[in-house]
Amino acid sequence: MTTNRRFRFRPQWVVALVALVIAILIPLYLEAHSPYWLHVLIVAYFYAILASSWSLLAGYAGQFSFGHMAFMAIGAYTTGILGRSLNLPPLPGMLLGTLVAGLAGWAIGALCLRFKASYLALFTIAFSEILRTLIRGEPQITRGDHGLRVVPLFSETISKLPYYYTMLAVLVACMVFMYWLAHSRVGLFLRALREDEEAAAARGVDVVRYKVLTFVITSMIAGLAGTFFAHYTEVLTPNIMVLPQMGLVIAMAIVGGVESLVAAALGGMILQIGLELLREFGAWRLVIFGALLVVTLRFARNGLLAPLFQRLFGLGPRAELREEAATDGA
Amino acid sequence: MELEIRDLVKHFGGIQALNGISLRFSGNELVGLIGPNGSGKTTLVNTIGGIYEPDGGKIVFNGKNIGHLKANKVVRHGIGRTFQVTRAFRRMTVMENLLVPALALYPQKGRKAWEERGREVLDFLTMDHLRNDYARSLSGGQQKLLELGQLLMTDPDLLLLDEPFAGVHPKLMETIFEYITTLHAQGKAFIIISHDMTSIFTLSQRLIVLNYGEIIADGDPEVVKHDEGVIEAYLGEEAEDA
Repeated sequence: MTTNRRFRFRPQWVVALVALVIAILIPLYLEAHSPYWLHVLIVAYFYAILASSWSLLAGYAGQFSFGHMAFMAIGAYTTGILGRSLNLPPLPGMLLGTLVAGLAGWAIGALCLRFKASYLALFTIAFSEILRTLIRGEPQITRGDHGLRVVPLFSETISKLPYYYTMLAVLVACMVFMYWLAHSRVGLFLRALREDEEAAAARGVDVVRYKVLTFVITSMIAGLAGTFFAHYTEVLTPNIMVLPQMGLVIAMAIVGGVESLVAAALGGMILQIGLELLREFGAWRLVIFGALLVVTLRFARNGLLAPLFQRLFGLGPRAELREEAATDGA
Repeated sequence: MELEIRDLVKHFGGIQALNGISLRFSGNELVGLIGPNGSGKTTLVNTIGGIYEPDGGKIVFNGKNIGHLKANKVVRHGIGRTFQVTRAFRRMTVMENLLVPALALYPQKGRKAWEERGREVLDFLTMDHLRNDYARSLSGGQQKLLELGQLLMTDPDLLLLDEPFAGVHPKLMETIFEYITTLHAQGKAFIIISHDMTSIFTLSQRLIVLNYGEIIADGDPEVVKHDEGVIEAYLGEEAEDA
C-alpha cells in the first residue's frame, strides 16, 4: 500500500514540472526582448514567497499576523547594515539576516501567541510600526528615509538573470519545505489548532509550542526573502514595511486562497503582474484590486485559485484519503 | 486508576464555581455527575482536564499531582475528555480528527500504524464508511461518537464525558450508551456529566450531585435519587416542571 501511494501518478506534479520548465526558460526570452518584465517576475516571486509563508501562518495555523513585512524588513536591514558597517559579504549577511528574523519571530511569538486572534493582529501592527519608526529614527545606523545602500548579490554582472534564477530557486525551496511541513504531523496540528485551540490542547497538542514554531519558520522565510530583496534592489527604505505593503501581501494570499500554499503563491504572482499590467490606470488599479479583494471575501472565502485547483486536481485532504482508500481496496 | 481531588477551589471573579470539593475515584468506576445549571459540573471537568487552573486544592491522578498541568500535559497522564458542545475539528476529515491525538501523544508509532488503529476505532464505532468525510458534515450525534473515537485512539484510563447524550437522536443515544457500557466492561473508568436522568441513573454505579460548587450527595444512584437535598436542589425542579 505504501509503495503504491509513493509512486502514484499525480497530475498536479506534472503541471508543477511544466510550470517549472516554463519558469526556467522564459527569462531567456525576456532577457533579450523585455528585461523590465524579468524584473517584474523577480518581484512577483518575492511576493509569492511572502504570500505563501503568510498563508502557512494565517491559513494553516490561524494566526492572523500583520508583522510579516516587519520580519522581512528585519532580514533585509540585518544583511544591509552588516554589509555596510562590517563589510560582510552578501551570503553570510543573508544567512544572518534570516536567523535574526527567526530570532525576532521567536521573541514576538513567545510574547504574544498566548493572545487571542484580534490581540495578535493589534500586537503585530504595533510591533511593525515601532520597528518602522525605529528605522526612521536611527539614520546613523539605518540611513532612515535617505535609504540604506546595499551591495549587490552579483556585482560582476548587470544582467538580471542570476537574480531571477536565485529568486526562483529560493521560491521553489521555500514552497517544497512549506508543502512538506503542511503535510507532516506538524501541519495536522496546525490545522487542528486553527479549528479550535482548546480542543487541540485537550487532544495533546502543545498549542503554544506549535504556534511559536510556525511564527519562527514563517518569519525566517520572510526574512530570507527580505535579504534577497535587499541585495537585489540595492537600497532599503522604511517604506518596504508600511501597512499598505502588508495589506498587499494579505490581499495576494486571500485572492489566491489563504488555505493553500500554492494558491497563495500564485495569488502573489498574479496580483504583482496584474499591478504592472494595469499601471497605466494609475491609482485606479488599486481600486480594481480592492474591489477584487471585496468580491473574493464575499463570494469566494477560500480564494479564487484554491477552489480551481480543488476542481482540477482534487487537491485537499479528503481527496488524498479517498485515493488511499481506493488503493486499500476499500 | 486512582483520582483524588482535595479541597478544589475555582472562582471566576466573584463567582465561586468550585467551593472546596474533595472526591476520590478508584478502579474502573462509572460515575455520574449531575446538578442544576451552573452548579459547577463542567468547571470540575475542565479543571481536572487542565483547561482551567485551580485556585486552590490538589488533583492527584495515579499518584501524580496534575492540578497545575496544562490540558495537553494532563491528557498524557491518561485522562481523556469530551466537550459539552462537540468540538471536533470541523474542517478536517474524520480520520484526521483521530490522528491528531494519536500523533500528538505517540508520534514514534508512525502515521501508517495510527491510520490502521483509526480504522479499528471507526469499525468499533461503525463509522468506518465516514472516515474520509469532513467532521462538519457529520450529524451532532456522529460528532459525539467522533470525540469518543478521539479518546479511544490513545487508550486513556479515565474518560470524562460532558453531556454525551445531549442533542442526540434517541437511536444514536442508545448506541452511545452501549459503547460506554462495553468500554466500561473492558476496564475504562468514566465520569459522565448528563442532564438525561434516565440514562445517567441506569448507567452510573455512583452518582455525585453538585450544587453551587459543592457536593450535596455522593453514593448509590438509588439512594441519591431519594436524597431530600437533591430533590430540592435539582430533581425538584424537574418534578415542578412536570
